[in-house]
Amino acid sequence: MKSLNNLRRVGLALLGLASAATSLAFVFSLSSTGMPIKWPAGNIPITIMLGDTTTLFDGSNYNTSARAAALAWNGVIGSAQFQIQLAAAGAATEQSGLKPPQPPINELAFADTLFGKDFDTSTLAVTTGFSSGNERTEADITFNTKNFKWDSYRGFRPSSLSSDTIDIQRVAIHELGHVLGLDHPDLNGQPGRNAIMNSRISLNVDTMTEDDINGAQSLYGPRDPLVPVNDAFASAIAIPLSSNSISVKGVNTNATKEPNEPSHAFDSGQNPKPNPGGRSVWWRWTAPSAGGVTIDTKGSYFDTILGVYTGSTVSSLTQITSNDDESIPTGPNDSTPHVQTSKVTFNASSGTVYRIAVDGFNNIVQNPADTAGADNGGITLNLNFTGTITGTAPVISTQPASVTVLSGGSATFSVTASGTEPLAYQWNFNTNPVAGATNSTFSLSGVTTGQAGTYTVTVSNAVGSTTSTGATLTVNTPAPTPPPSTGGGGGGAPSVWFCAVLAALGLSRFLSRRP
Amino acid sequence: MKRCCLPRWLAAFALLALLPAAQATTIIAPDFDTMVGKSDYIVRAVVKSVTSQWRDNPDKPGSRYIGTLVELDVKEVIKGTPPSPLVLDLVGGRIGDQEFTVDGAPKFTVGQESILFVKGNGRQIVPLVGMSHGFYPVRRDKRTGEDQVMRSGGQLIYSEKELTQPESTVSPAPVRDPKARPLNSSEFANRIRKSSKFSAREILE
Repeated sequence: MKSLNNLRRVGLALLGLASAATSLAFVFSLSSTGMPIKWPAGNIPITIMLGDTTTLFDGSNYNTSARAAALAWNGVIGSAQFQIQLAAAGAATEQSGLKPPQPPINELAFADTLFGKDFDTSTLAVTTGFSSGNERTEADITFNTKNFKWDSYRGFRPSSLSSDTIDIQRVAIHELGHVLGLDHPDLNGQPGRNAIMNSRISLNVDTMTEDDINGAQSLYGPRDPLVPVNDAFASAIAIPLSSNSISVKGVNTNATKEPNEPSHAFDSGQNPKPNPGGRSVWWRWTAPSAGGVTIDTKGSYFDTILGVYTGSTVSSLTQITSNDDESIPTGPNDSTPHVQTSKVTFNASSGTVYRIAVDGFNNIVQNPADTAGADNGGITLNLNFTGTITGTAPVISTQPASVTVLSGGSATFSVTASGTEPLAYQWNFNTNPVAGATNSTFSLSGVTTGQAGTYTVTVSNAVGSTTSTGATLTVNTPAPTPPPSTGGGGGGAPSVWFCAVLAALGLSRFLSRRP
Repeated sequence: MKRCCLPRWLAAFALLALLPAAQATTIIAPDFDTMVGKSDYIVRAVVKSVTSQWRDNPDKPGSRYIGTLVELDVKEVIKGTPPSPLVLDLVGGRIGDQEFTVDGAPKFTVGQESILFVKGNGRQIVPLVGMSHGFYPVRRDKRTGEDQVMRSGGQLIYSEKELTQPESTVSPAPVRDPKARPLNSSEFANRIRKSSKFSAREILE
């Protein structure tokens, strides 16, 4: 459930995040609820009021240099985007203060002081902001002009600039990373990482690194408009279970809701009603024996809803169980505790295929004006099974073979595997899952050079999974068709037609050079 | 023939000239001696109370923000002469549903023990040298019973030299002696006192 007046998003979500964070370099700014502070899906309006009258070292001005920083983030994240407005320097700022009844402004501004107080002399800029629960509601960036001069340059500082001159663009990228919800990895157990989100960056890091981008995409999904491979019910990813518990990762940014797809859970607020969601992704799991099952979304970076079904088509599903927000007491005074993650428990029957949908909470049920759609971001889906794991994990007996085709031709890969049925297949192109490629054979027609690369297939069942060796698809471009011959030709000798063209060209150039 | 036209000394000079560009984004992280020198006072203290309040913003009349008073029970004065009682005045805090954050600033909770490099209390946004760089939580190691000093993010400190973060793309993180053990709070305090004396002597001389 998404409610700004609700601080009940607490508890075990923190544990899930903490365990997830151990393998990650990027870190998040956590609210008191233990969840990362992030914006809801949609636009994040920012007003850049740094000024446009000074031409800087790289030819930009303060406003356009900072705008480039915002656009850099817009280029890599999916579910939220900075909506940029430029204003003159010295435009009315508010400095993160609540100034009712006007809506809060997210601003980038210069200042000598902040809230009447000095910057620390080593502080370049400060991001301040309000949040409610774990939802960011306002953020401002203030650049310190008392102790530093500002310019705009890439790489090392040019020698023509004084030693107290700072590149505004890289600092803006860093601070906008805070606005999005990223914290300093170097101060949180990840020293030595290459990241612009470090509290102190390297000499020439002037834009986001892979680590920074991974962090932001964990909160907001990738910018890439590709839909997740398991967007459709029919493309559900099989969950293997070689031990009694497993965690799988995913993302629902850019996912959609199919026709006739049910709403997966009721809003757990005071007025329960089906939440429409709108960005669902699917997994499927076959119970190897009878036993108790717990599925939750701890470690996910957004407000999830969760549904578990049986049935073979999206329009004929039988719901087994569902949940919006997990209810966890966070203290003796917390009478109605909730966290944004979801959790269900049920008893599984041996051999039954369970369909698991993870969607995002859609705030439109509480606020009809909110058209941002379902919440979305990185998903962690945890499954725990109390029953006995029986059966044989898949073993590949015939690996897929490499194929060479002409551009425009067809290619087919196949694999043979054994193990406890049912076996599930997922073909991958350069390690990325191919949507709909879920059979033991995988065919491509009208092949293009862009499809050349390495193909693998992951075979899984209820007790395990294995991935094949890589098969290479080589795509050759046909040699250009030779021009039609007017003479007998042969033996590779130039045709009469070709010689005539050359002769004509030579004669033409000879004539054109005559005085 | 060796084609290098740039003498080594000139290359080294050029590299040194570039070093001042090693700026932080939010913070120019001070080294240990600078942190000690910049601090008004350094204390080991336990948080007694945390009180947040809405305040008017003197820079922008009509707007307001959340500020916090952190009352400290000072266990040890390591440098300087702090007032008694010592109450830190910070920008940021939480009131009911509303949380106001200053990214890069530490969060204080009642009962938490830390070593604090205090500077500009009441005058600065966050009255610590380098914001979180001036905040070192102390925790009791259950195995040894020692009070260990940590970075703000919870990592143990093995040497005060580690407080200057490595430039990640310029030099790798320093290799730590495998036999090294984390600094305890009294060792950390002694390093501070040593640095403080050294700084004072330099000034007097």
